[in-house]
Amino acid sequence: MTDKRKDVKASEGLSNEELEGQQGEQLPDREQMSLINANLAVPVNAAVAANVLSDGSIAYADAQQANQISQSNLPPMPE
Amino acid sequence: MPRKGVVEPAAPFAFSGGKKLKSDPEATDATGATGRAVPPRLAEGMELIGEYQGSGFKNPPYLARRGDGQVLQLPRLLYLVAAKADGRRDYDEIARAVSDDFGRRVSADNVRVLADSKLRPIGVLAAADGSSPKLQRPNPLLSLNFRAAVVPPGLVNAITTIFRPFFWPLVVAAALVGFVALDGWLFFVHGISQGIRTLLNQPLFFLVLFGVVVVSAALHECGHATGCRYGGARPGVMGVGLYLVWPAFYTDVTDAYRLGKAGRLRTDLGGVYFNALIMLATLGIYQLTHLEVLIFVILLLQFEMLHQFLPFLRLDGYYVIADLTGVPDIFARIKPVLVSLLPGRQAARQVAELKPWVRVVVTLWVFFTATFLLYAYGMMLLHLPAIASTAVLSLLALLGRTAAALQQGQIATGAVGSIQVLLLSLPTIGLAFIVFGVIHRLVRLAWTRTRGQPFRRATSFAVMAAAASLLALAWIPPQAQYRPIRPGDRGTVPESFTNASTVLAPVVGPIGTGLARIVGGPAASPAPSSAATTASPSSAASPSPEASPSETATPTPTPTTSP
Repeated sequence: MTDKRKDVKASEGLSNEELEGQQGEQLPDREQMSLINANLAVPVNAAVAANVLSDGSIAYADAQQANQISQSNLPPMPE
Repeated sequence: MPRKGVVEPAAPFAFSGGKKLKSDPEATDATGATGRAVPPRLAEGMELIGEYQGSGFKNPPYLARRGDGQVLQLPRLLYLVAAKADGRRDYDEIARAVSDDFGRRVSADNVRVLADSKLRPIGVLAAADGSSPKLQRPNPLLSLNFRAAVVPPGLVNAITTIFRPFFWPLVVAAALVGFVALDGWLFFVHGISQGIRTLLNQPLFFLVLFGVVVVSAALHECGHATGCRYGGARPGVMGVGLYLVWPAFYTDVTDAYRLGKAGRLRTDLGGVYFNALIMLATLGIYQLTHLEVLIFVILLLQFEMLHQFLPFLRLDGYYVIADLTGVPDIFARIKPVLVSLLPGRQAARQVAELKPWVRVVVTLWVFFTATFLLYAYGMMLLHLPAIASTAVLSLLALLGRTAAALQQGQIATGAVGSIQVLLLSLPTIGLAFIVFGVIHRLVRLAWTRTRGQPFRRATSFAVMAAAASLLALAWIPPQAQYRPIRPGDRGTVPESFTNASTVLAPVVGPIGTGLARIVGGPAASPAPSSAATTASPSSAASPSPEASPSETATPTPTPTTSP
């Protein structure tokens, strides 16, 4: 009985639901890009972060001077 | 009386996607003046390409390309109907031929429905009157803007002929070995310090480096085009455009859809492969000249290469993922995947049709991309005042320095400054375009998708009005922080959330307090108190002395040391 119904359906073709499921899609164009990111600071900053410029570098010497030097033209007080 | 299985044709040349099909026997026939059905035929310039190779779908889709260059992805049945529509067979004959190939009976009515409501609206078949009207092409999310074609397809193909030997397998293998050796030598033997030191001491080199960046970007495009051609597809134009906030070169390699997985990946990776070749050539010149600045060129190109692999935008990394999984348009699946993740929701067709492992990869990509885009766009919009004031200060400072340099006859420094002014202006224009584009897209979607549904339309616009109010709050003083980014600002993720909560405190605070009252608990504080103290509007309203133009962070370094 079921097989018979199936045969009848098959002879009619595809159902509305099956037809609805058939969807064509428009694909986007493939535009392969190269960004002109002329930010030259990126490799410099990365190099600084990796501490590769610390040895013998003069461009990034940034030593903090914290010592105080006392100067006076008075002779030292006798002890 | 409507007859079962017969379907009304869709409105001419509009997608029927997702709409319920109605039965209407009177509307089915594409008839001529005599009342006799006109045999369907392909639209003018239509090319049926064949199966999409290496697909990530359970049932591989098929590809076709319209005369205007638009590539279409079709299920097998639609493709078969299109393939049999030769302008001679009538619907009965097409139905018989399709049934033989499809393995199931397809009736003449079925074919008529598919032709009228599925194939004609997207321009696969010619219209019932035999014409091939021009259709509108989609504007996908995150695509290139302001594009201008520069190199015509004929010249592009001539260029690819010159570069073709670089894709011979032995040459590729040698280049890859050379590239690995180069990186080993650069980072573990020679080092990069002297390259950077030379550059910082001689600002003229910045100008040279900018030229190198532009030339390498152009050659990167030649790599894509040559990879595409080597596999058997035909690249289109090369040109320039603005991608989000970056100026960009592009190559139209749409025809690469027809290639197999290996051919598509060759096209994707051709660009960075050419970057590697440029690095090897630069190393060769370094060996001859011992110019240390060339080491910096190689370092810069390495960063360019890494940048290209970012998978969240339509850069090379995205196309590699799309081609490895065999899903040609992953961006179009963001919404279906997110909706399918909601509890109690069935997987959408665009998700269920994927192979299980592909579905996992695509879901992960969608999750990370949606998070990244929401965060990046959200924070960019909220912090627009700070970005804008930094850009303006930086621009003024650059203009001052450039003018002074030119007056003193320092041509190199002046030229570098001019380039930087241009490079700083483009992102600002791009940012404005993104904001306008997002608003335009949202309003258009809310208007078209809610046609005939007044409640949904009102809700959509109410949500957008609420979002606009939040933005107004973030952009209008005193809450807005029109102060430039200061040297002490770190811009960490937690800091961005703290700033956001400060901006939104007047709205979020009362809502939180109201909710707390409803549930009977203690009143919620309007905003994290630390946020108010670290970034109070009063302190932000006036630029601090340390945020002078000379110390403002600029997107590109300015050479200040004299040669």
